[in-house]
Amino acid sequence: MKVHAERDRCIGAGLCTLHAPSVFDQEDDGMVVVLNDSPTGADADDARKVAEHLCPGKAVLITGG
Amino acid sequence: MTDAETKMAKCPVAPHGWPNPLLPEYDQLPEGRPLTQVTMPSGSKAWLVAQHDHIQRLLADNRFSVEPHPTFPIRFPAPQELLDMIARDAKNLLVTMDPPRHTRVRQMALPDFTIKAAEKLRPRMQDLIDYYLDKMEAEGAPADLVQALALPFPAQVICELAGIPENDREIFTRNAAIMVGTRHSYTMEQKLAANEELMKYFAALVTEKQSNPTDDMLGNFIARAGKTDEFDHHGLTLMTKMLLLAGYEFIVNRIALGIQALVENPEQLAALRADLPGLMPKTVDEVLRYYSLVDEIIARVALEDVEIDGVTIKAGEGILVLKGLGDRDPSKYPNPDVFDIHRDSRDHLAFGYGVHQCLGQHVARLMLEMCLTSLVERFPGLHLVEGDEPIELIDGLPPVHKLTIGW
Repeated sequence: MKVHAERDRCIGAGLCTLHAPSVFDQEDDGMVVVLNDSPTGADADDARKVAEHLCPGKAVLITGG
Repeated sequence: MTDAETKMAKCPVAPHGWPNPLLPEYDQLPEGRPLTQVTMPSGSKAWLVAQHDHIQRLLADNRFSVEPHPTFPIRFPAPQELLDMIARDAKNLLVTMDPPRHTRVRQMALPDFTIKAAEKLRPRMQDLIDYYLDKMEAEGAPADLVQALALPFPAQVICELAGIPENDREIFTRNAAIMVGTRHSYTMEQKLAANEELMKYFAALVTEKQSNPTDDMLGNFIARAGKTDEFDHHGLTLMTKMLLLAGYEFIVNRIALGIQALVENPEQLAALRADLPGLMPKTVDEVLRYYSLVDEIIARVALEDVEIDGVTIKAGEGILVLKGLGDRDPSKYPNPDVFDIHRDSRDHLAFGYGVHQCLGQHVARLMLEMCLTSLVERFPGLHLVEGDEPIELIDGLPPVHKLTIGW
């Protein structure tokens, strides 16, 4: 699995960081940064949940299994 | 057309002029909750959106606008002067701006609303909660939790975060309570007078913070706005007032409703008490999901034709997003009417969805989490003394005006 975040789409809601804190961080301006682009196990599940249902800007993309 | 569809089709214009998610008609949504077309008081067409999946897809779709538009779905028959006033003010409010301007203005406020910015408030929030609960305990049981904690605590946090000088806070708390906190006790004239006093106050505050910048949420926002030509003085006044008032009623209600849900479900309260750090995040999300139902609905207008599940929402048609029903969608949350702190409610719609999702959600979340934690930890015998119909409906918006607890 590869995690990618598009800053142009990020609205700074911070839900990625709230619910998958080992995969994402929220910078001081509010925008997303990816901490771990190849999460596994529970972190991978959380990242998928963020991409599919939590990120309100649809700024998180996941490729691969 | 089935009976249910007939009822739904009438819903937005009757009986109060507002669709009311707590009215029994909403239990009779057609099976599967398809998009349902309705006619607004103005004669324009709109669609009721009640499925969780539809709500997320449509609110994240930038082909819908929040800006005033001739066919924007307004749910009450409004006189032209009121519509003109709304359209004039809308230019200056984040909630009624589309991207790209919305993006620029939201980014001016964002640094003071990040998770880290909210976390910095934690120690001060705990001091305030302890202060209000010490006072409540000293006065003895029973106590009205709304007056003891749910109203004064968020007001104090919001004022401190925003940078309202201490001597001025009474102006905000008194008028904010009239405008939102306990709306059933006040007339429209009183609310308009409260609004006028707040406008006058914020106009002076904007001037003051422009000449003497302060390092707080409003000071920072005004400084960032000053480097652009996004707002004139009146616009900044409207915007700063909105930043302060926007989340106030929401959090007052959630603190009271969250406690109510827990004391009404003693087994879950016991489970929570046994594992507070483990279960509190889920509990907060479940309180937010379960009580989405008490909120105002979200309206948008389509800027171009949008296809969804075989339905075409035509350019110019509105959508009325019933997020409270989305949060009780059985295809998303099994047994949705059961309050269950063990379920995964992280994708609830309480803060909305899409680019307009609540700016203050981390501050609100932290206030709710800390109030619930302190009350549960401190009072092992916490119970409801009288419900006193804690949810009263006024125009479909139910502030909790009283919640009497013992311990």
